Amino acid sequence: MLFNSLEYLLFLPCVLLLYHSLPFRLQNPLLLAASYFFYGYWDWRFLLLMILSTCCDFALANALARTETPFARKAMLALSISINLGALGFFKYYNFFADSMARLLQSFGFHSNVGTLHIILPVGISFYTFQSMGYIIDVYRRDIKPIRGFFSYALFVSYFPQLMAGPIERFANLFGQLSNPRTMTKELASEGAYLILWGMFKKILIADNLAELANYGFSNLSSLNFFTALAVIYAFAFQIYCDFSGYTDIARGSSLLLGIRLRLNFDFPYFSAGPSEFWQRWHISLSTWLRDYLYVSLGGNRHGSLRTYRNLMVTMILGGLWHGANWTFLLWGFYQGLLLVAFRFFGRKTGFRPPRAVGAILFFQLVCVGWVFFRASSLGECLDFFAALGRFTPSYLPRVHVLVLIVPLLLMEGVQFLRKDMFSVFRIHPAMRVLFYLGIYLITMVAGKWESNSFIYFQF
Amino acid sequence: MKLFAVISPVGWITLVCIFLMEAVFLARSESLAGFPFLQPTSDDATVMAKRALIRRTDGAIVLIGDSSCMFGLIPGIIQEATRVPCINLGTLLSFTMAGYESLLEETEETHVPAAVVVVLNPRAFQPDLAGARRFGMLGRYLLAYGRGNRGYAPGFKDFQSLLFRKHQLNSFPEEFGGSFDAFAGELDSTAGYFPEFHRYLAPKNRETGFVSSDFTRNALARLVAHSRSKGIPVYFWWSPLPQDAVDPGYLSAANALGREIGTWDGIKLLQDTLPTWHPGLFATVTHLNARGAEANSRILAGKLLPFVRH
Repeated sequence: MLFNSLEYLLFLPCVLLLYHSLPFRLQNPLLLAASYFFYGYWDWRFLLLMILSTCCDFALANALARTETPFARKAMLALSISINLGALGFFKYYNFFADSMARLLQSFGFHSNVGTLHIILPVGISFYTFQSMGYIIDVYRRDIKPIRGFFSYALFVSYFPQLMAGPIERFANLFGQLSNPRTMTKELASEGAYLILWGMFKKILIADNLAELANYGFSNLSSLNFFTALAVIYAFAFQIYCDFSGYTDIARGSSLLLGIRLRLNFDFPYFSAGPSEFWQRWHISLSTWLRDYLYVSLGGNRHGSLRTYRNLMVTMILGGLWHGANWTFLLWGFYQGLLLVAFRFFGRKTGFRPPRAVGAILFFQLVCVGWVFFRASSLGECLDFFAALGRFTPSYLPRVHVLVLIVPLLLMEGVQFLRKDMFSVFRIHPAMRVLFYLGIYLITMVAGKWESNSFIYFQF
Repeated sequence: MKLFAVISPVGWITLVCIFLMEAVFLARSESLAGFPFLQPTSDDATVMAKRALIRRTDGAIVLIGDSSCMFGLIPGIIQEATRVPCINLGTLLSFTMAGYESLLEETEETHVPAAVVVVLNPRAFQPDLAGARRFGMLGRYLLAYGRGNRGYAPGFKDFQSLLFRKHQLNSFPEEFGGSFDAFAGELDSTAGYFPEFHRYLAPKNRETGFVSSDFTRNALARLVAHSRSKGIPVYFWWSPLPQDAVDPGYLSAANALGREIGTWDGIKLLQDTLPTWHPGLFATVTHLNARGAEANSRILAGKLLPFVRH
C-alpha cells in the first residue's frame, strides 16, 4: 500500500479510529494485524518471507541471550546475520553478482553457466532486515535484553508506518514506546497531521512533478547542454529529497497519530556545509546504523588516520551497495567516502572553513555530482551526463518551469532551519495557519501527481 | 473518542473548510472531471463532449469508434450525401470497445438512431481487459455516470483515478482549442468531427502482428446485439491505413477478422478489405488529415446510401 494512494487515505483513519477506541492490551495486536495487512496488500508472498525472517531472528535472539559460551554466541550471531544477509543478498544482489561474474569470466575467454533469475525484490526488505540485524547485534553486545513475546517482536519488525522505507528504528526507541501505554495529546495529533500534510506536499507535488523533468533529462542525455543538465540534476536532487523525506514525514506523522514518535530521518540535509554534516542530516537512521554497526566494528577512528580513512571508505561503499545492485551505487558510495576522507584530510590540514551559506551552496554542488551516479542506470549514462556539462549547444527541456516548486520548499525549510524548529508553522496566528493548511491541501490536490508514483526508496 | 478530543480548533476549522470546499466542488462539477472549476484532460473532454452530442442522435446515422472515427469522418458530408443527419461519436482507443459499447448503449436508451456505423482502426481490437484497466478511461466513465458494462467491472483504482483526476489542474491543449468550451463548441458545430493538423511522418517500422483480444471482440458482439434488439441496423467500417505503415501479414490478419465479423448476425461489412491509402492523406499513422477525412466520408456515404437514404 502506497502512502500516496486512496487506499492508505482510507486505511489510516480506519486504523486510527479502531486503535484509539481499544484498550492498551488490544492496541498492539491491532497494530500487528494492520501492519501485516498493509504489507500483504502488496503481495502476500512477501509477507510470508517477512514472517519467516521474524521467526528466525526471534528464536536466535532469545537463544543468544540464554547462551554464555562466547563461541556459541558468535555462531548464533553469525547464523542470524547470514540468514538476514542471505535473504537480502539473494533477492537484491543475486542477479547483479551472477551477471558481473559472467561478464568477468567472458572477458577472460571463459563461458559462464551462472544464469540470472527473474527475482522480484520484496519491498522494504533492506529496511526491516537492517532493523532486525541491529536488534540482534544489540542483543549479542548485551546492550539490550531480547523481547520475550513473539508478537511484540513481530510488531517491532513490521510496524507499518516505518516498514517500507524506514526510518530504520532502534530497539530502545521503538520497542520502548510499543511496550508502554501511549498518551495521545493535542501536540502529537497536530504534529502528526502536519507531517502527513507536509509529506504529501513534498512527495505528490514537488517530487513527482520534478520526476518528469529528471526522467526526461536522463532519457535524453545526448540532447542536454550545460544549463539543461544542471536543471536536470537539480530537479533530481530535490526529487529524491522530497520523495524520501516526504515518505518519512508521512511515516512519522502517521505514527504520531498512533502516539508513537519515530526517529528523525532528515534534518535539512541540503543546508549542510560538508559531507560529515550531510550524513548527520540525510537518511540519519541508515547513516547511524552504518556508523554503529559497521564503522565502529571496523575500528572507527580509533587506530590512526589511515585506518579511519579505510573504515570510512568501506562503510560508504557498502552503504552505496545497500541502495541497490548496480555499479553506479557502488560508485556513489565510493564518491561519498572520498568526500568524507577529503574533507577530513584537508579540513585538518588547512583548517579552512568558508562562511556557512557559501559552504552549503558549494557543498550542494558536490552532492549533486553524487546524484549523477545515483540516478544513472549505468556507468555509460554517468559519462554521458558529464559530457553534457561540457556542451553549450542549444538544448530544449520541456516543463522546466516545475523547478519553481523548489522555491517554496527552500523558503519553508529555510525558516525551519534558521529557527531550529520543524514545526515553526505552529507559531503563526491560528487564522494564518488555517489558510496555510488549506493552501497546501489545495495546491497538492490540483497540481500534485496522484496516480501511480511509487517512492524511489521502495526499490531499495 | 480520544482521537477527536485531541484535534485542535485549528485542525477542526481546517477539516470543516476542506469538507465544505470538497462538497461544493463535487456537487457543482461535471461528473467525470472538475469542469467548470478546472479544465478536463483532453481524453476526458472528448468523452464529455461526445456525450453532449447524444441528444442529437434521434433518426441520425451514428458513427461510433476510436479516434480514427473522430478525426476521419465528417458528418456534414455524409448528411449531405444521404440526406440523413449524422453524428460522430468516435472517441479514443483508450476508451476501448467496451467504452464504445457503453456510450452507444447510453445513446440508445433514450434515442433511436437510424443506423450505427462502427468505425475502427485495427489497433482498436488490441486492448484487453488489463489494458482497459491500465488506460482507466472506461472505468472512470462508468463510475462517473453510474453506468455498467458486462465486460468491465470498475475497481478501486478506477475510483481513485476518477477522484484524483477530477481535482487535477490541466492546461487544455491549444491544438484542441485551448479550453473545453472551445473544444466542445467545435465538436458541436461539426457534429463530432475534429480535424487533425499534424504532418504525417512515415513510421520507421511497418506494423506487424495484428492482435485482437476477446475483451474487444465480445464488446463488439454485445454492441451489435444491443442495437439489433432495438431494431437499429449496424454497419462496420475500417478506417484506412497509410500504405507504408503496415505489412501484408498484418493486413491479411485484420481482413480475416473483418470477414469473421461479417458473418455475425446484425452487422454488415461495408468494405471487402481494409483499405490502405497514400500517406499524403494522413496526418498521423492512425488519423487522416482533412483531405483524407473528406475522401473517407464520401466513400462511406456512398456505401451507406443504398441502406439509409431518407
